[in-house]
Amino acid sequence: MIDITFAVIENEEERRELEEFYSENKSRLFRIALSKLHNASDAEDAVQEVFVRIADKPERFFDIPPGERTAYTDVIVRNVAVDMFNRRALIPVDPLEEGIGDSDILLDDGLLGRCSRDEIVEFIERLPELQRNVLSLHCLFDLTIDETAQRLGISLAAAKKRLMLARKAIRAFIEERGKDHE
Amino acid sequence: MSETTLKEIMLEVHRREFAEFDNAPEHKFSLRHRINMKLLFMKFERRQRKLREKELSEMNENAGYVPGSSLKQRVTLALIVIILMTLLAGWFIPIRGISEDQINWLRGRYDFHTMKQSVVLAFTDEYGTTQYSYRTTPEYSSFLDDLSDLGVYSEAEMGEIRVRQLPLDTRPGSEETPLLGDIIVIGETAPEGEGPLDSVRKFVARLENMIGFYEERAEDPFRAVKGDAEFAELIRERYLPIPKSFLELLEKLYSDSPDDDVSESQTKNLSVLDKDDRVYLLKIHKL
Repeated sequence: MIDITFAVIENEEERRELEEFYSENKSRLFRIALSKLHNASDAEDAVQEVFVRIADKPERFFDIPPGERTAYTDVIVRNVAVDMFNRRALIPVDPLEEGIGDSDILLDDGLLGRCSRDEIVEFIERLPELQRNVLSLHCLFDLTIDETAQRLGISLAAAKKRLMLARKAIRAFIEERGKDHE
Repeated sequence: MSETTLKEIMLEVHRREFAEFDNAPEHKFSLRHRINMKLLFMKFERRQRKLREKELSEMNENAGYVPGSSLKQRVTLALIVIILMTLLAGWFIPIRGISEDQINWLRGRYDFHTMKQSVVLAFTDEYGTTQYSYRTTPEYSSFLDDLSDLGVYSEAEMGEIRVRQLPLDTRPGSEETPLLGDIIVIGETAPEGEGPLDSVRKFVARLENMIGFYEERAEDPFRAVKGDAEFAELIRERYLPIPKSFLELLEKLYSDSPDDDVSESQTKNLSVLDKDDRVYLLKIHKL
C-alpha cells in the first residue's frame, strides 16, 4: 500500500515541480531563445521544445540538483534555438569527418592550473557555441556523450567531434600560454 | 585525474554567458503556447503514472503475479477505502490503548533491533520455473498480526502500514500464489541496518517534507501553484496519520527501557482480543 500511495503522490509532485520550474524560468528561457531567433513566436516554440525534451526523459532533469537545473535548461534552449535558426535559414551543420578522434583528451586539474582561471574562462567563451554547449552538458552535469547528444538533439558523432575539438583547443591554448609564461 | 577545476571553470563560463538573462523581463506568452504547455504537463503526468504502473506490474509479473484487477482499479479502490476510513475516523486516528504491559509483551516476543520487514525468495512455480518474490518476513508479519489482535490497529488500518507482499494473487479463493518446490531466501530487501523503524521514519519524514514544501510554496505569491495548500492538507489528513502513529508506536518499542517488572517476572498473564472480539488469556513465560 505504501508504494502505491507514493506512486500516486510522486506523479503529482513531479508535475507540480516541473510546472513550477517552468513558471519561474519561462521568461528567462524565452529571452535566451529570442536572442538567437529574433522572433517571438519561434522563441516560444523553442521554450516549448525544451519541456518536450524534459518530459521525454524526465529522470535526467529530476536527477539534477534544483539549484543547477536553470543552467541545464539555459544550455538546452540555446541549442534548440540555434538549431531552429539553422534549419530555417538552411545553414548546413558543420560537416563531420569519419573516424572521430579521441574525445577523452584530459583537462585535469594539473594542466588547468598552469594558466589563470580568467584566461581559460575567456578562451572558452570564444569557442564556437555548439562546442561550449557540449562541453557544458558533459562537464557540468556529468552526462555521457551519448546523453549529451540526445539532450542537444544532435548525432553521437557530432557530439563526440565537438567535445574533442573543444578539449583539444583548450589544451592547446593552455600549453601555448604555459610556454609563454616560461 | 580529477577534472573538478574544469567543472568550476564551466560554471563560471555559464554564469558570465547567461548573466544578461538573470533578470529577464516577464514575457506574456501567447494563448497557443499556454495551451500547449498545459497539455504537455497533463500528458507528462499521465505518462509518468503509466510508467510507474508498468514498473509495478512488471515487478508483479516477475514474481509470477496474476492480477485479478488492473492496478489503476486497485489504486482507486485503495484510495476510496482510505477516504472512507478517514471520514469514519473523523480525520483523527490515535494509537488506541496500547498499555505498557502490551509493549513489554511485544518486546519479549520480538527482537526489534534485528527485525527485517521483507526478504527476497527464490521458488519454483507450477511450471517448474524459478521465480522471485518479495515476502514479508514471518517475524514482521506476526508482529503486525499481534498489533491487530491487540486492537492497536484495525485490519483496514493495517493495510496502510503493511509492506506489500508480492506476489499478491487476487484470484477468487486464493490469497497467495502457492510456493512450490524448494524455497530459498536469497536476500533481505531492506538495506543493511535498516529495520521497520528506519523505513517508517523515512516514509513519515518524506510525507512531512512534502507538506512543508507545498505549504511554504502556497504562501509565496511568486511561486504558488493553484491547489498547493489543498494538496498539503490532503497529505496531512489522508496519508500521514496512520504511518505517524505507527512510527510513534515503533519508537516506543525500540526504546531501550523495558519495564523492570516484566524483565523480572517469569510469568505474565495477558488478555488478547481476536478479530471476532473473543478474549483469550495468554500466559507468557519468560525463558
